[in-house]
Amino acid sequence: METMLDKVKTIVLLMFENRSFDHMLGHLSRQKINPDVAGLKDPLTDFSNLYKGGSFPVFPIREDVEMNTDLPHQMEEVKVQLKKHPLTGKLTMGGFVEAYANANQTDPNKECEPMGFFESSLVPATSFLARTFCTCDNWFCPLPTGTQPNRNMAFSGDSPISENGLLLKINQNNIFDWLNRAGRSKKVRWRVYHSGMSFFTLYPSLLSHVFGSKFRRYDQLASDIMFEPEDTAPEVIVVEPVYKDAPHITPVRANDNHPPLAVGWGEEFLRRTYEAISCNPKKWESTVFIVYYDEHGGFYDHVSPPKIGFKTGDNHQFENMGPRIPAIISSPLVKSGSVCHALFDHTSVLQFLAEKFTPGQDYSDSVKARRLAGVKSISTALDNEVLWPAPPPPADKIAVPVVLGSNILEGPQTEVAESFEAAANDILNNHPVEAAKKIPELIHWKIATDNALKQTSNLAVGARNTRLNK
Amino acid sequence: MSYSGCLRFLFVILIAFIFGSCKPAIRSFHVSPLVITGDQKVHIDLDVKGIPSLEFNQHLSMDSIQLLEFTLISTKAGKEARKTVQVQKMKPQASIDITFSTNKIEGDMVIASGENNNNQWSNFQIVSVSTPISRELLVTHGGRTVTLQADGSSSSDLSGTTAGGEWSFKTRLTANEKADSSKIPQELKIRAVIKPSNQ
Repeated sequence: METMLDKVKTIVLLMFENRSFDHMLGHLSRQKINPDVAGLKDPLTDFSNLYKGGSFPVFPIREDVEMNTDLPHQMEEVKVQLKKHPLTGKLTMGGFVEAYANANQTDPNKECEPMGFFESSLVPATSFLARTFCTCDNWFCPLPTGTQPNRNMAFSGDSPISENGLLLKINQNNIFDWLNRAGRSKKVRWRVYHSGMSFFTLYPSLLSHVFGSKFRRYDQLASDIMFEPEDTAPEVIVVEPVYKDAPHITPVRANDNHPPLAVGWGEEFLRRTYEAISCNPKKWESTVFIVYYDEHGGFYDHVSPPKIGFKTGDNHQFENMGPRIPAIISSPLVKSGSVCHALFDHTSVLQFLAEKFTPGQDYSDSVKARRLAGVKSISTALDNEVLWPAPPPPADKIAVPVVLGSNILEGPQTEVAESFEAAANDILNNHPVEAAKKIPELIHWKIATDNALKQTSNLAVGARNTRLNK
Repeated sequence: MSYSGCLRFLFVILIAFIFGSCKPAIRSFHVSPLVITGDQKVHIDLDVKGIPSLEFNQHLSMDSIQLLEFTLISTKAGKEARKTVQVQKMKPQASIDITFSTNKIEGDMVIASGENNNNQWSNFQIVSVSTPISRELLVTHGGRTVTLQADGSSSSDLSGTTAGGEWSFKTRLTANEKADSSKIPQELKIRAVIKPSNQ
């Protein structure tokens, strides 16, 4: 009999940057989108930090604008944020405002940035995936520190460093070398899709992979998912956003959600990526698409992390995990609108890969140690036997304050734009093979416009829509 | 370094300078005081690179405090920098909660102490205090000590002291709390009625 793991043919990983669970997904319970989620609830004054005698409750962010600054989230700052109580020893999650005030050397506003959270309307793609698929509300970043150590844990199960560094080292259990070694009868096929600099360029030992054929342009993703035969299609896909911290010389905007960015760019990237991943109904039946964040980025979360420690290569002993991060598993193999309360961290993905590709063997000793400490595999969330198709993502405008996606929803608004669209349709209809080779982004554009058209008739769109009129 | 290398280096510096000088910046943005009453005015001091504009709105915080929100936006070369400062607007006589995390045990008393933000509250004085947490509290502030009853009745023994500055709250541990440290209250709170010091 085919097991749930047998059904999984494609695992897709998308890791964003620096947001906490309550900040992105706490609205699910408060807005009663999914009351089973361990998120925020009224009265919001129950979710507060103290600073100099005053109380700073969480508050809904009114507009998705670029923030004043990044928030503190390095090792010592995270320690302040978790705020171990001197008498009870509990991690109170009470120091986010204090860390912010210390970093900025200023009196915090009553509505202090780390305490802000998004309601559903400002994170439409994230909220859509969470309410449609499986929200993981007990997923913590493995280490209470910054980006690089947590990404090391995510992509190797270990970290030689406890704080961010320059040229990074990663051991032979990095995900790419591990996948190359895994697979009993045949090698595991994997691929990375990125635009701009890949995060993996930060590891000199991985550059041979980065410059190889398995690293592809992001705009090839939809085309590959749609047309690539199953026997060459990748079984593991890593999709990378455009990193805010990477050098930019193109008009492409950063969309990794790293503060102070507005999250609208990341929301647009998320819905387009989901659209691409789910565009081939046959492949979608066996796809598990995992969206997660490297760490909390200094934003408040109300759940204390478990006391599962880790000793990094530079001999720093962490006593507990870091704060919860937003995580969603999108797949027909999860029940729609479900919540997985199992304890996850980034190594849960590596456990899952090991279950799939090296059954009976752990990914590595360090991942095994975390499993024995109580960290579960992603497979825990896969419990749906009945196949169901991928619903299209919301096609609404995202205001950040520049409007994204309006051309998709409203159609071309000028004559020149109309002629471009006509040419694109002509190429796709009459020269599909050449289009896939030379202009692969057109494949994705077509999927997006078709999805928008399915929904446009239900929307009160004031602007003219030339596609609807034809 | 070769001549062409030098040229390339200078070119990179020039490009970095051009891009750097195109960015707007907010060098300083101060609004004072941070707490006002009635029709009291605020003073705004700003220094920006770019074209400044000031947005204003007001709304209630989650704990029902009226917030006046000033957002300074500096625009240059199609880019924006922004910074927001919120001012709390109180009634001429208002009640505020002062809360500290517990941080010490002395005998069978647990203590919470700290500074109530002097920058915000030094221009306000105490009218009366009470405890909203249903336990007897020993409160020390401004050189005076007062016992607050668990029934929430108010005391004016601290009347006239400054709302800002150091406070200490003590309460007796229950038998349960002594037996199990995880049950020790994590914070202690008082409710203070305050008014501007110049009234």
